[in-house]
Amino acid sequence: MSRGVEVRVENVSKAFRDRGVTQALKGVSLTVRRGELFSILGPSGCGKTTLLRILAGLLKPDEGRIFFDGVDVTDTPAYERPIGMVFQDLALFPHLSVYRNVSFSLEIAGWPSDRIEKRVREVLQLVRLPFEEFAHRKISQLSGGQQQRVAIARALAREPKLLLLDEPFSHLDYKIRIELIRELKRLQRDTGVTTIYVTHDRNEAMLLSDRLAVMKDGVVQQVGTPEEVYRSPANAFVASFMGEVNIISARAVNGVVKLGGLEISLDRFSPNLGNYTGNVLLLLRPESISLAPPAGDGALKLRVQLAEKLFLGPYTKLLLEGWEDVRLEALAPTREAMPLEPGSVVDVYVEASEVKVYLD
Amino acid sequence: MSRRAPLPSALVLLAAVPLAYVLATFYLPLLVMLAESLKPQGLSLYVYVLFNPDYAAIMAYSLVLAVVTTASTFLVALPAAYYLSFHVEDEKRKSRLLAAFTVPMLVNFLLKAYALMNVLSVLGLANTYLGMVVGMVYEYLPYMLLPLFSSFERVERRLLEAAQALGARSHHTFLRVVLPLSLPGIASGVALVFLMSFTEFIVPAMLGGVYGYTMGYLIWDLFLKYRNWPVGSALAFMVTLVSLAIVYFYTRWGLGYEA
Repeated sequence: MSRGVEVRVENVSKAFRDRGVTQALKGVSLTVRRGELFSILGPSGCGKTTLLRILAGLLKPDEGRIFFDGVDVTDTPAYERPIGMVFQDLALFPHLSVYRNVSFSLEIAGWPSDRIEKRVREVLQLVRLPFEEFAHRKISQLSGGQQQRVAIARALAREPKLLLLDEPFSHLDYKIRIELIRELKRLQRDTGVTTIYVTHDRNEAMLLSDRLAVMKDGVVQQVGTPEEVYRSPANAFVASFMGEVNIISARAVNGVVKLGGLEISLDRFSPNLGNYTGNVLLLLRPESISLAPPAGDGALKLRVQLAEKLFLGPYTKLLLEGWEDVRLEALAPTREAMPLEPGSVVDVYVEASEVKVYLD
Repeated sequence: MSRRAPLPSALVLLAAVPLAYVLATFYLPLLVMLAESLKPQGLSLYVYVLFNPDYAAIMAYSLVLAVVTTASTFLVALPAAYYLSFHVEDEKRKSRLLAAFTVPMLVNFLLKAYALMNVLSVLGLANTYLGMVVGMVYEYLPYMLLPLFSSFERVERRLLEAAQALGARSHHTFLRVVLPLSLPGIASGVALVFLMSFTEFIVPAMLGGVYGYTMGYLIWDLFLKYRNWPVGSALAFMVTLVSLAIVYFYTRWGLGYEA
């Protein structure tokens, strides 16, 4: 069983132009723990793929260092790093069979052919492609999902200590994508390989990761577990990138925000904001607005008008108007939202502790 | 009702006119040549030509020269095409360098050959086998370089990165990824240069001295010096058959993998 490496990125910067767009990383630092499944999440152009290519050794940083288990590998070429990589477009070798794609790294490493065959069988089993059926097929004879499995098998064949994946599932159907993500997670647990997964899809990242980093414009915004990042976003960008959120402009006076019956002390977030006066942003997740009064007190009742109902299956999105000129979005179980008619006046409940405040 | 619309007659003409041209200028003369060769004594002339040791020797000599030329041209073109395609980043520079390699193709060979003769004399290579091969490579280099270059250009660069990430150094990547994926281009270049050099006679005649007596030269002599049209036609027809056979096998096997 292969053990993963610890990956440390120290103050890495990189600027270059790719097809007319300036890509950049600005002083990125982060640590990925041994055996961790770590996602780098961000919109396109945020530098996540650049960072991954630097980790692979396909690109050299302008500044900063990369360490694997404490050893500086910044100047180590890709072919000498203990990595496996799955590319966004897979980059399977079209002239080779499934078997020869998977055995590629082993042949180069000079393994004897009986050991190669044993390993190819093992890895194909790991990605659930029956050897007898698939080993001698051409790449063009496989479905998208099967090609994906071959790409993962190829990357895992020589037992890398670091597995790098660049949005590998982005062109697949939702159902197959979810299936592959679960399998990747199982596979990663089984092999213990440190895995870094680049994606722009927050659902993939949350479903998959032990921890994740959210990036924007070449800067890491926040690192944490999916739950931490979702529930305590470091800033408004992270909050809105990790899920739908109501963003409300307000004003704090002497460390207290008062808005339509809502009263929030800023010292709850940081003791040195006790006397802050200035503009702030209030962030509230739609699912934190409930139709039923929560148990316990401290919940604020808002009287609003239901402007629109959007049926989403198990949940229904409610567009609410009439509270402090703010248009709020709420997410309620369809069972509770069903009797409500658009245009009617309803009472909704918000717990002050669910509201996050950011300086504007 | 057939789902395929009949080809409009005007479009048929688009193909028919060039086809008629090729028929009139290539296939028809070929048949005339065949008839010419069969006129005096029928197929027994072919038996005579086939088993004539002198002709067989010249045929073999020409084939060897074609193999030597093709191999030398390949060895010269390969590094040039590789460098141009993979190591020249700037697109403008790339097309300028490519032009430098291929512009000689646009100059009449007779002019180039006289220039080359001077250089070869200075080097003491005039009328030697090596001098003749140098001349052949010089003439055919673009025909090898262009197909090699364009098939290198078509190799997905991502595949090179994938190979690198699997532990491949550049020579592994070249042998295991670039070369196999470029087989169609290599096959075109090799077939083209082999066929042209097999029937070439101007370069051997001008630069080869005593080494220059090839099949092409022999046929030229038979027609214009000895006025032996039947034997000349029979030889020319057989050379054409060999060339067509090579083209046939090339189109069946030479195209490499299908994506």
